[in-house]
Amino acid sequence: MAIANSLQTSHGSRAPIDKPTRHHGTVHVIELRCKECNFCVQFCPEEVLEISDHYTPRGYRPARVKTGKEGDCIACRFCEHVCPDYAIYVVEDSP
Amino acid sequence: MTANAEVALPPELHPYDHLLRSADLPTIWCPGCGIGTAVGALIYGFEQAGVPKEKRVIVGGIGCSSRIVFYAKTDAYHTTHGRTIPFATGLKLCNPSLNVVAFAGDGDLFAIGGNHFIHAARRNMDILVVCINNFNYGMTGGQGGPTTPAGALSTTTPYGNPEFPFNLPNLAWATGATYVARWTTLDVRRLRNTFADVVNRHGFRFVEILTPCPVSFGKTNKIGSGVEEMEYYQALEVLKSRVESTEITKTDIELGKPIVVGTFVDRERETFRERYVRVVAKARGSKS
Ligand code: SF4
Ligand code: SF4
Ligand code: SF4
Repeated sequence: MAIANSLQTSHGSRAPIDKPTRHHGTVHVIELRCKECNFCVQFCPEEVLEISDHYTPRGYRPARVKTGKEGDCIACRFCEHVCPDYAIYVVEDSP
Repeated sequence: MTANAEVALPPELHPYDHLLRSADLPTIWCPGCGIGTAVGALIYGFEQAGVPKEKRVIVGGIGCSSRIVFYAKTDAYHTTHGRTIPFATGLKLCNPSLNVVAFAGDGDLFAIGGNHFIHAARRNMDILVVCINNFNYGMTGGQGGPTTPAGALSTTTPYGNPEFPFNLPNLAWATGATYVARWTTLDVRRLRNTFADVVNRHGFRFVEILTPCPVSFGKTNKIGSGVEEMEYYQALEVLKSRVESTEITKTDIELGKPIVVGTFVDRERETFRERYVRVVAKARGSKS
């Protein structure tokens, strides 16, 4: 009986257990390492990245976050893992 | 140079910088080459499996992929062409506490080094062998080799390769490897998990990584840039795990045909060292 009561009273106030948590990340590009291979640009699931229009001293146009897409990175880290030159990484923002 | 002023310096370093010889980055590999992706996955595997830094050893041979020894911050040995496995074998037998990875290309491991591969697998040597398979000799100008698909173009097969290639997982399975997986560099997540899973295991483990080589194989066969070769894999990959022995021959790679990837073999066999230690004990016992 006591259990049933406590269930009832907590029912209305408990936080939904299935609330989806949306991760968000901030992308950092180490421009001098980027070789414009496009792996991160092509395979980012949220299409957050693009190739810049300026050149690094090494002669490559580095990857960058598209203007207006700064809030769209879901911190899946695919770009970080696929980059062959360790030129891009993602810091997950605290929720 | 005005471009200098525009280069934004990062507020922090890449999370792998302490595991890399980062002053030498970017790598020497061509833009669109996938070897760096595979190196990152191996470094992750060491970290994730908790292999102590002083126990990590990478043995490279000759070829593009063997440049790993210049970028991964582990003990490393850059050996002569084809001798990656013999060096790794000697190292592991002399100091069994080391975690030894032989990391080389298809030419190094399966042409000049082919005999070493089959015999190390047969003996069940305690090493992890990683093959960067780019289907040709990239570093020396795109010549055909033992993994060049039948009919594929290379600088030595300008009218199409008349030979059949090795099916590397099939060869590894048939010669006794205890673990066999094949991934492409696009499967970087699965590749990372594979390394984390197998780097600490015993026995002869083999991981084949299909890797874009845009300047040689990709260009000659009109696949295109590195990212286009990744898209080629994306379009053709078929995931299959725990392939039955009768099925492993169906993992052959043919140009333009589906490419089967996955963990094909995962089995237990006594290692060479375990058996050798027993034989030594027996010999000593019979003398006294
Ligand atoms: S972490 Fe994922 S979503 Fe964010 S930029 Fe990289 S690939 Fe895109
Ligand atoms: S994957 Fe790396 S090297 Fe390639 S474009 Fe992206 S940041 Fe640059
Ligand atoms: S030749 Fe091919 S394998 Fe070698 S670095 Fe260039 S793209 Fe990579």
